[in-house]
This record gives sequence, structure tokens and C-alpha cells, in this order.
Amino acid sequence: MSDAALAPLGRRVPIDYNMDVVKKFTVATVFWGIVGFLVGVYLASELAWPALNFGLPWLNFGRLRPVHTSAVIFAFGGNALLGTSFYVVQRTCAARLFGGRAMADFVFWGYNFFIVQAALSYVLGFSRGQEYSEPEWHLDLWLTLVWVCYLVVFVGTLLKRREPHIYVANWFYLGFIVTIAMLHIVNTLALPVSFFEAKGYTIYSGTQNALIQWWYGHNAVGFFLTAGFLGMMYYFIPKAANRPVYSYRLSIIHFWSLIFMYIWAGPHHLHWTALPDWTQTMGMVFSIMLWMPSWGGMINGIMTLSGAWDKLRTDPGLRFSVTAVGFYGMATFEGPVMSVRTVNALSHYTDWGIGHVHSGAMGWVAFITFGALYYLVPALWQREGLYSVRLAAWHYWIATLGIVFYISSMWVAGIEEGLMWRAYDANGFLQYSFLESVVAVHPFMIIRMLGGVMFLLGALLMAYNLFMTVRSTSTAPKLAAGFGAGAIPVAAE
Amino acid sequence: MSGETRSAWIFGVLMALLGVLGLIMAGGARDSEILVFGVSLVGFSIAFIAGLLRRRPARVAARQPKTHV
Repeated sequence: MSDAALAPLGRRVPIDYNMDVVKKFTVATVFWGIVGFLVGVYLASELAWPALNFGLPWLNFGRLRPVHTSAVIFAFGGNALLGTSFYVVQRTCAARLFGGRAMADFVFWGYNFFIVQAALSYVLGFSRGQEYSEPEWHLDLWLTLVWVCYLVVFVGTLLKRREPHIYVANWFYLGFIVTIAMLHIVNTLALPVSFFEAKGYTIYSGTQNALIQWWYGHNAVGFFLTAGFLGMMYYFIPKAANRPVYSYRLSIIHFWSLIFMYIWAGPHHLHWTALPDWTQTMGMVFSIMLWMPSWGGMINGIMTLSGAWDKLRTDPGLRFSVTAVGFYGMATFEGPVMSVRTVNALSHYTDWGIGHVHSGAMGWVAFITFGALYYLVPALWQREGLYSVRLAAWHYWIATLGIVFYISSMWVAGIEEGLMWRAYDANGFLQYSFLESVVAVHPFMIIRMLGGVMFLLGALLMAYNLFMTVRSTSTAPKLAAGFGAGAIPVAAE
Repeated sequence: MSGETRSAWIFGVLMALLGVLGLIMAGGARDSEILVFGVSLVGFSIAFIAGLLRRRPARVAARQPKTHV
């Protein structure tokens, strides 16, 4: 089924947008979000009560952990990014997706095939053992094929646009697509043992491998979890607030400075290792410089609401988006602090890192996605509005409280661990054994798990609300109305 | 040949080739991961091609209104 719509009324030119693939990505985003949060809650429970792995290898933390990270980052976040990028590029370019329906469908099904296969391989015990880059060579090749098709669809649509200008959200999406392609290909270069065996060996060795891995790992955060979602921010906040971007010039500066600086910051993951000192220092310096573009972007996002702050009372979707930008500011303040070598000496390898990652992942990535979903679902399915604004408000408060429980418990646990691990007695012996630090943080593991449960509950409320938005007669359009501003539907298959 | 038809042909042929590749991988697999991947790739290819045939552009075009308002 495809949705046909007219371009802005003044043009009188029919554009048959491919919104079918955007709908598929939207459904997949909600589905994978719940799967990812559920696995996260289970893992948090395992960390509090290790017996919950029941001695089964496929329930082992080491195998399920990449299932959780891949499900929330690449499945939930990835489907959200691919779906919204296809929506935004069509709407802002006034052009149907390039490459036809088959190519767009291949990107959707191929990407989700990759996710299912990757999860299966982790559970079966196959992994490259490199964080966020666990799939073996055959899955890496498959993802490369899908990603190249994605790039072709996106760039092809930009090239055939009917608008003279390329809107800034598309710059962020394009930066994300191109850089992720480069990072993925370079980091996963490997020699398979055989065409018929999953095991492959990376072509890099020792410290070089560590550096390449964290060049990839940090920029997966920078370009997948930041640049792509900033594209989302620059489209959906102005649309929901019905206001232009506060400073378009700042958004361009934000883009170029962010992509220039982020790419150098990876070595801060390897402080106090065999990596040369000057490389560590460079990673630290670029991380601190990142404050400027990050906060410039945050201010731009929040100030876009100038004159429309009252909408936060009535639009829970916008509330999610703006809170997300606040968390973006917090996480991008905390990250550079943690990249300072002396701070890193305390924070590295502790749960402070887990708290930091989740303030970004739950507060920024998930919240900006929830905001986009609350905007997109009524628009895509041409409904009057959300099934229940009150339910969305409940989602907001439960999820926000869940994040607060999560990150505050991890901060306290992390600092406690760091201090216990570095404590020496008068004779120079370590004051605490590792086990004592594990016992000390046990209460915080339980609080973290409860925070995760709340976040999951909120997501379940959202799934029900969005499902009812699509299915309920109460949200059916009373008059012929189009999705998105300036467009009216003329035909639907 | 319309753009939609050309796209469907390209991806139909590509998926057929990938399906054969999946068969070869599954046939010679020396571990469970390649076996699972190969078999899944065959299933994925068949399902994708079936989807293309079910919604082949010519049939869809025949069902759609000729003009947009």
C-alpha cells in the first residue's frame, strides 16, 4: 500500500510519497524497543541476582549483553533513524524515495534480517568480541550491502529533490549514513578462516586494533546515536512546535564542527593503556572541544520553542523531544568530563560509565525517538491525534523517573567502585577485595533494575497508545485531512 | 519498463543470487552459525521474491486510479 499526497498546495504537483516503508520502520522501532528494554531489564536482574542465568549458556550475561546493546542501538535506534530519515528526506525534498519500492523494502527487510541474525549468532556464542561490532564477517558483509542500498536511496532522493535547498536535518542524516559506512567497513576488515566457517580474524593487531575499535566505537556514538538523532531533532521539534529552527546558521555550524571534532575523540576510551600518551591526550582535548558544538546544538533545539513553550503542557510528544535535548546537553557535558585523564582514572571500568551511557541512550536517543513516534504515528496513519494524551503523559513521567533511578544509582555505584578499587592501607596493600566492591554496590543494582522496569512499562504504555491510535474509531479523521503540514491525501491503495 | 518494475527486477535477481549463495553456504557449513545463516538467507530470498511477485508493479498500477486530483 502506498500513500499518495499532493505537494504543498501552491505547487499543484502530485507526489506519490513512499510512506509504506516508513510505516514498517515505525512498527519495527516500537517492537525492537520493547525487546531491547526487556532484555536490558533481564540483564539488570542477572547482575543483581546472578542465579537468574539458570546455568544456561544462552542466558549467560556475556551472550545476552550484545543482544541488549544491538537491540536498543541498532534495532530500536536504527529502525527509528532509517524510518525517520526516509520520511524527512521525502518531505523536505518534495520527492518520492529514489530506487523504487523494491529497493526501499530491501533496506527495511535486509536491515531487520541482519538484526535477527546478529542476535541469533550472539545467543549461539559467535562474536568478534569487539564492543558494538560483535557480528562475524558474513553478517558484516550483509550489513554493508544493505547500508550501501540505504545510501543510494537517500542520496538519490536528495539528487532528484524539487526543493532548491537541502534542509539541515538531511545533512545530519547524510553525515550519519556516510560515516557509519566508513566506520563499519574499516573496523570489520577481517580474514575468515573459511567461507564455510563464521570465525574471522581482524586484520589489525594489538594496540592498533584497540585504537581502530574505539575510533569505531566512539563514533558509533557520535554519528549513529548523535548525528542521526540530531537530524531527527532538527525536523520533529520545529514541526511539533510549529516554529522555525531558532538559528539556522547555528545549525550549520553545529553540523560541521560536530562532525569534524567527533571523529578524533575515540582514544579517550583507552586512557592509561598501551596507547601512546599523545594519542590519549588528543582524544581528551577533542572531547573537551566537543562541548561547544554539542551545547550549541542543544541551545538551538531548546530555543526553537521560543514563543511556543505553552505547547509543552498539551503535547507530550514535544515534551519528550525537549527533555531529550536536555539529556543530550547533560550527557555531552558529562562525557568530556569523564574523558579527562585524571577523572577517567576514577570512572573507567566502573558503573559510572554505564550510567553515562544510559543517560544518553535512554534520555536522549529513546526520548527523541518517542517524541518523533508520537508525532509520526497519527501523521502516517492519517489519524486526528493520539488515542490518549493522558497515557502519553503517564509514559513521560514513568520513563523520566525510571531514568533518574537508573542513572543516579549507577553514578553512586560507579564512584563507590572507583574509590574502593584505588583505596590503599598504610602498608600499601589494596584495602578492599573486588568482591567487597561487588557486595557494596548490590543495592544500586536493584535500584537500576527498578529504573529499567519503569522505562519498560512506559514503553509498553506507548505501544498500546500507538496501536490504539491506529486502530481506534475515536481517532479516525472526521474531515479529509493530510499527513504533515501542507499536504492532503488524494488516493490510498 | 517503469522505474518501479526495473527496481523490482534488479532486486528480484539479486535476491535469487543471494538465495543460491545461502544454499551453498548452508550446504558446506562447518559450524552452526553458517548453517543457520545460509538457511535463513534462502528463506529470506524466497520470502522477498514472493513479496515482489505479490505486489508486482504492473498489477498494482492496474488497480490504482489513473489520475491524481
